[in-house]
Amino acid sequence: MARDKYTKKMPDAVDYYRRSFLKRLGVTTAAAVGATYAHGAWGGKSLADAFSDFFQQHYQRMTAEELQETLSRIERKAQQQYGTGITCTDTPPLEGVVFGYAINISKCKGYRDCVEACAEENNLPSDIRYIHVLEMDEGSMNLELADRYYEHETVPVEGKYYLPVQCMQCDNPPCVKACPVEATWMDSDGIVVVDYDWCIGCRYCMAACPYSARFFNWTRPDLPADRINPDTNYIGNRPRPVGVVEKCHFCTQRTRKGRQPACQEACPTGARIFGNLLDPNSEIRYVLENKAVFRLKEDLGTEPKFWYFSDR
Amino acid sequence: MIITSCYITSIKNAESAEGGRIVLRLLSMIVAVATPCIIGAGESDPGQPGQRYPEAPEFTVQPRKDKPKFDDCSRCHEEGDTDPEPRRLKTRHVREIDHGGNRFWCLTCHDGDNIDYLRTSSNENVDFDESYLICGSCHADRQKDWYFGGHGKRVSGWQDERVILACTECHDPHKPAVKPRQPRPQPPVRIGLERQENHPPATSRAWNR
Repeated sequence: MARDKYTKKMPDAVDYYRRSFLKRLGVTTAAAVGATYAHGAWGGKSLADAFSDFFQQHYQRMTAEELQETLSRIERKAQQQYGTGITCTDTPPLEGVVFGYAINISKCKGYRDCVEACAEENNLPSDIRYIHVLEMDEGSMNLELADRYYEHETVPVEGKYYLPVQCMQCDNPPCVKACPVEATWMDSDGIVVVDYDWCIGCRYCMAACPYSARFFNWTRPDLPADRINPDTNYIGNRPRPVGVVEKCHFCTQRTRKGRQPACQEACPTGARIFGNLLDPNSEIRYVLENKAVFRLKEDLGTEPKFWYFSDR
Repeated sequence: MIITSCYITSIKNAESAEGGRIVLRLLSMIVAVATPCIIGAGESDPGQPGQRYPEAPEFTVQPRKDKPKFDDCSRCHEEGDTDPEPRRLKTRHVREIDHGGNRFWCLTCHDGDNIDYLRTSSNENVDFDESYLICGSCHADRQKDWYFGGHGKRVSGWQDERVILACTECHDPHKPAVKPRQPRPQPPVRIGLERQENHPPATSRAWNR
């Protein structure tokens, strides 16, 4: 349904037909050479897969059949690269939903349970964490003096408070404006997502993001087979290729099926409140209407859909 | 008794559907307030606890009574054997009640006459799984937030039926402050970066942090 919407938007560009013609030609040739024969020169893939990878369309321009073909190719690739079977699905945004998040900084105690749960859920390589829990001096909002590498016997520490920072899913996202190839965009449910296969790895978006919420895969993600979460989606937590940018996507593989994001589920203090901003009875709306909420770097006009509040 | 008859007159005047709900609430108030006067002091006939915020989104509380840690008081206590005199208890009881600045003792919240239940300050009988009704006697602001989702934790999906945790899931009612805990390991330092101590902003380099 959402796919038809995307596909209709596409202009009848000559470029598109050349691309699909070349792809068809390539696939036919590949089928002739040997569809299942894998070779190192083709990245360990079969020639057909290597060709289809090369000519893969932008996520929003793929037809339903192309998308299905792509998803099964991603599953084959994960099997070949990581030695484990995954299921990769397409999760279009839900109608009538805009997601929002609020964190109660009075309740966050800096346990970092959210950081770990996020890494497990989203198949993060060992050097990337979407959530930074910043340790801040009480009464200060100086982000330059925040410590995200704090290590203590027990937390919370006297005189400190904890400020978890992740992608703010801005309503006016500077990263999307910076991307030269439209590999990242804001979906209708307000989540800013990345088509990892369209990303050229220029990292302009990382420079544009004022929250340091985007991360670059300098190496192929080191994922042991037993640690891979097999329940993945195209736009979210599937294993990423090397040389692309990734970011928090509010666990699209979960939230677009009605579940809570992994960080909310893991938070032992209940500091994290997630929900639909368009539903007047949702918990997030109660917080926004009844608590003194603030947003990070609000003066930049990025309009984050991510709020902080305190009990006082 | 005069007050009771006044209430009844106002009930007769109420006609609308919303009035019906008010009638029910008034009735429960009358039972709670007036019964001790009618029956006489000492004999309590606890009323039913009411829903405090009917306009709050619907919810169910994740039950705690079926957890293995939970123990019915009636496993040892028989009916009517509870000594109402405040004193320090030793065997098989919570030793320290670090709640309410030492002003509390067991029967502040537990019902001595019906030991498997709790009792609110307005003398309502409350099941252990509805302990949140007790907490609101003092922590009314927090309780309101909890009803509407500003405090506490939702364990069901954001779209599903709302299932939330009881207050006692996180706060031990005998010692409610949340205890400090060891944090999860430090996040990794990005490849190519070195971890440096925080410097005053004047000398710091953003790419070294």
